[in-house]
Amino acid sequence: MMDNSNPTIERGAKPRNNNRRNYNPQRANPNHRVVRKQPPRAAATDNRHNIYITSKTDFRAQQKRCEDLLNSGAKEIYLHCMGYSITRGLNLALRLIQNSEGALSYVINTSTIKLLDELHPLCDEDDLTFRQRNNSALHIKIYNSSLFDIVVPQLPVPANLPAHDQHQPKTKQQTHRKQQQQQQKQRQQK
Amino acid sequence: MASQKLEYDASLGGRETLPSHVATYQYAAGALNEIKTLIEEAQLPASSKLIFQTLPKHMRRRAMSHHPKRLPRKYRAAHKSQMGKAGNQPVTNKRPSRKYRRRPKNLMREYVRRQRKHRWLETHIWHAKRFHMIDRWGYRLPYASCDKTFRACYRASGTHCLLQDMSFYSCVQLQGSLELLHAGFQRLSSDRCGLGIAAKTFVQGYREGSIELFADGQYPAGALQRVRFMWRRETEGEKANVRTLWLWLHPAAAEATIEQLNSVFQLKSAKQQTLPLSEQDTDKSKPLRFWTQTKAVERHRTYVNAEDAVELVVLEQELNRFRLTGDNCQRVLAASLRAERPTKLEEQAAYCEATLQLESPQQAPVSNLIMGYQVTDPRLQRPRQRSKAAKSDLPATGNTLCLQQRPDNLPDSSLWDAEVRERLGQNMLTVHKYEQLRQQSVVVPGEHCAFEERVQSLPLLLIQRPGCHEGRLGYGSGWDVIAPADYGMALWKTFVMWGARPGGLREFDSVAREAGVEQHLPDTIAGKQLAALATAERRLRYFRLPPNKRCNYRKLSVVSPFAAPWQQLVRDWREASDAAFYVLRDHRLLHSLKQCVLHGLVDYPAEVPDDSLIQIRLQLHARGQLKANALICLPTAQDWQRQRRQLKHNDLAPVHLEPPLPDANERRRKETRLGHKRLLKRLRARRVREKRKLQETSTRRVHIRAAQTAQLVREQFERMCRLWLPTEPAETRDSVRRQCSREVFGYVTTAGFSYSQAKVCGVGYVVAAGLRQLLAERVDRGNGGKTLLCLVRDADSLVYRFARLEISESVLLSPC
Repeated sequence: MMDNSNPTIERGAKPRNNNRRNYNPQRANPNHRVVRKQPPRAAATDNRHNIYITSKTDFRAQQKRCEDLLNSGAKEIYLHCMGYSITRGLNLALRLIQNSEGALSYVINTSTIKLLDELHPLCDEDDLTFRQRNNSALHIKIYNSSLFDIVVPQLPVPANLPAHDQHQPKTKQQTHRKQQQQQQKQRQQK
Repeated sequence: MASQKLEYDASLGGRETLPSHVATYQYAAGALNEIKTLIEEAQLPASSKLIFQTLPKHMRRRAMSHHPKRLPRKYRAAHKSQMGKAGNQPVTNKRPSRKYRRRPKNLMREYVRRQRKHRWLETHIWHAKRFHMIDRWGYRLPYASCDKTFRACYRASGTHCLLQDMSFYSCVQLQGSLELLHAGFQRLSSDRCGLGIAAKTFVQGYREGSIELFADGQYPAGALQRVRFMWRRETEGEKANVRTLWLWLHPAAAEATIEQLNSVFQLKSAKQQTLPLSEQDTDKSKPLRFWTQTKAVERHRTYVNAEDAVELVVLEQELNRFRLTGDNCQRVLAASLRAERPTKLEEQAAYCEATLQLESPQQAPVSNLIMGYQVTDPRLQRPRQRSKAAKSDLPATGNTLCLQQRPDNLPDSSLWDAEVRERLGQNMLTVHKYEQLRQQSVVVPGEHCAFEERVQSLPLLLIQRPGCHEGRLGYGSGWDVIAPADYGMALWKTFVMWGARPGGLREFDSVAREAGVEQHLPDTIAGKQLAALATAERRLRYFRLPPNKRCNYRKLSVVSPFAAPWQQLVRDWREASDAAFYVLRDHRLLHSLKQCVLHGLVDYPAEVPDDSLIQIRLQLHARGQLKANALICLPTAQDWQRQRRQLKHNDLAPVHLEPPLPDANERRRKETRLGHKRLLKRLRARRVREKRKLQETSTRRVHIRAAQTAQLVREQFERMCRLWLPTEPAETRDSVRRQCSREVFGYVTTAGFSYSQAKVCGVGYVVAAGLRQLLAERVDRGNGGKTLLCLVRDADSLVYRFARLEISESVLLSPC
């Protein structure tokens, strides 16, 4: 049993006209409707190596985040950007590669993302309608292409505190500071 | 020299002669009198001694007057009454032992006693152990956690899950035909404030709507509150043409709203009904006789129309409403709610499960979606330890297009049925019983038992909230869960065990501030109440400070330091009228105003009334702090010049400093204070003199008379308060608009650092006439399309800074 009165899906252009010079109040809001945009969703396999670029975040902060990821041993990171932030993503990728002095390379993929807008009616007689639109997206993979990329196996961390001596007479209720002092003394003696 | 004593007896040389004999009847009469007085004395002793003083020495104990238990038991009652009569406090009894107080019977009696003054939520005991509780709107509500969780709650509301109990909203059920209800609500609202109550998208019953309510026919003034409502879906089996509607009223304005509804629909309380006396007496000739029927106990307040066309029931303590905010609330809900199987509503359950599999609540197929969901008892769904709900392994069916195919019966729920609700509460398995059953029948500890299959399931309603449309897109989105009474605690604990972070009233405010909206507009009842509360608190705090720590508002030239004087602000900006102030809620006007402010390509809409307040959003760019009750001012040409210069030199200094005014009252305050001190000293000296004089003639020690200057001191305090504070803005015209060196055209109501914007943000209201002037000046300067800037200044500083100004359309949206 499916709902027959379901809102129809209509196709249309981008909801907001960014070009201010051609701004026309009548055309921008032809059906007298308030648009509610759903934010694009992250991929299902969300981890730290997927970075979604926005045009609102500070450019240098984004750059630092990528560099930190790469410096902390990430082999490859993915930058995803959509619509207006594509130029920002390209700039960021180029900047990263330029700064790496040949250590990083990149691969670019393009795709189209389907987005669904809700059009809210402004008069009581109308029902909710939806508008499906497409937006272009870019997925940039940045990977470490250095030949000298040697993976250093992590050494086990040595225990930094010596074990308690068996001979040491047990005192009642040693304070933390006293213990530390004793340990220091022991270290000096050694 | 010893004085010579005179003798009385005649035989010894005195005047008195003794008779030789005494008459017996005289003697007996005298003896009788003596015996009478003796008996009287014994029965009612007229001694001034206290009871413990009359005891023989060997029975006296130390500090007997304080501890009645040191007296023999038969004297205790008399002792207590004596101490009470003497003006001393009757001796307080010891608090009973904790063991006694914690006995279930005594504990419950104590809880009932405490609920008499303020009502409790179902989760009260849980909250009272962990939260600061405050009295608000007749309830005892959790304000904020005792832990420091301010930032944690922000994070929870964004990416994790924030859980709040909002059961203090009272639900009102209206039943009647759609046409009748629509006509009634048209009187209480206006179609200019967005969709009405009978809009097609809401009447179908699958979306929750919100509507702005005003006092009958008083639009745009007389705002009551913004109300969320939901229609029950129309089904074939029901009575024809009778629809059910739930309104969720804020407790501050609930009574006023119910009163308005009663007057519009002409409802009368069903508690007292006037019925015709009998069927036979209905001939036209006789005057009709009536009798009054009064119900002794009314479970829910009910109001009915004369023709029974409309019925209003106040569903108090009948429903619980919990609010979950943040992306992770999908996971929390999916983990805590398991659909009851087998069920008649298989399609509904499958759809709910699929919706809860989505990444985030803002991806729900329709905003404000209502879903009915029949779930198993939430107590069976708890993890062993408190843990964060993880994403389930089920493959996501999260294609939004597939979810567009809603089943028809999605919003159906037996929660709408009063009988079902009552039965649910009666048949609910108590926690004690449940534990007992588990003890008896569990084989492996911690595993499910056989009897748990048969525990009754409960209907829930899930309502999606879309979150904000501007700024951080989708922030504040989540689900509201409506559960039947008695199940509140079971559900709450399950949510908390799955990693939801509980929040209180403070979090309602902070989520609203991050989203850039305001919960209660200043012209609504709740807004006025809260403003009055905040004003009193600020004033109290100001006068608690020592005088050298108080900022002198006369020097700062701030007229109204503790409250925003909307009424006087509007008065100063309009020609001649004295109506009450109101906030502009006309969506068409607001939209065109917004376009005008944003691009400057649309002209200022001429229909905007000059005396309305317009909600705006403010953002500081570089430096500075903004608090509630800050002034919003118009910049002058000099300020623009200065700003240009500062931009060039990257100078972050304030754009203008208010020149401090001299305070004429400073001298008077000093004189008054000294005079008052002198007066007190003189009075004391007088009392000392009096005491000395009395002491000279008295043999006992005389104490000085009590001062009794409380009245004097209070008057002095009030006088000093008046001298400290600026004159009331109501007294003189233009006192608000031209209070300082820049023209004031608005006030900030809520402000603070916003984590989501990483800037100091605020919400305020400006007068339309002032905004028009600001826009006109922008055009005159020749940069019509640039962002609109205004000056802001905190009430306790001299510093003016530029802030970005945006028209906020959020007055038309449901409260966040």
